Amino acid sequence: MIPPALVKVHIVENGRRRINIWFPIILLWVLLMLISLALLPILIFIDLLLRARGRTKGCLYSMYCIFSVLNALRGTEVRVINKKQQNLVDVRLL
Amino acid sequence: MTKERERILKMVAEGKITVKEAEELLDAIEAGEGVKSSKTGDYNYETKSRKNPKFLRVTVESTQGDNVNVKVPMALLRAGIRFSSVIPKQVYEQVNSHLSEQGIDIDLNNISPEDLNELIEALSEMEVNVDSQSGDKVRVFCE
Repeated sequence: MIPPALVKVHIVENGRRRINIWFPIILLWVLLMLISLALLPILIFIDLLLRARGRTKGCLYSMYCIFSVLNALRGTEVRVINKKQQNLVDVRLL
Repeated sequence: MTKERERILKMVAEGKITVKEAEELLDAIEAGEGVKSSKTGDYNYETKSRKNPKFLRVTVESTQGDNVNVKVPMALLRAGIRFSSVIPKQVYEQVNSHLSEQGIDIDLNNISPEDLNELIEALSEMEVNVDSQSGDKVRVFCE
């Protein structure tokens, strides 16, 4: 599964374009990966401690779950239109 | 009548396709739509045979001009369920107590990730269409 690379935010208020952003969210993932790699030894240590106390799902599993949620975000779309007041909010994760 | 059906009939009227070809196309559309299970008042529940749907769509069209269109990947629902397994038991108890305060007697401890996965799979075969008297439409379906 590939995480979303871009976030498109389009906001129109009273028929006027307010915000139209294409944000390369892939940069955040790279940063997150680097932070995760840096924290990995600590997380493994905490995980081993938790396992010794009988908890099967520790930090690494939580991290895996977080990454799987982020990966699954690709394709999410929220579009709200108000035709009378000509308002639009469009958020897409591409 | 769906747009596809209208288009096919238009193509027949224009002589672009024969009646037999149109029949075949309509059969193909019907096979894709599945069998209508029941119609009750304004609510129309249909079951459709979709294999591995990728998105859950919720659309709301109001007569006042408000439109909402939400597309959620099915993978996100599954990942969310996986994520729920790391939530501590104490949190479940707090949520249970808040739910019971609101008059909802559901014990979240009894809902396993397997049950939720089954629920998601069942969701992929269901379509909910709500047409209100005022003309507002709500559609929930998988695609």
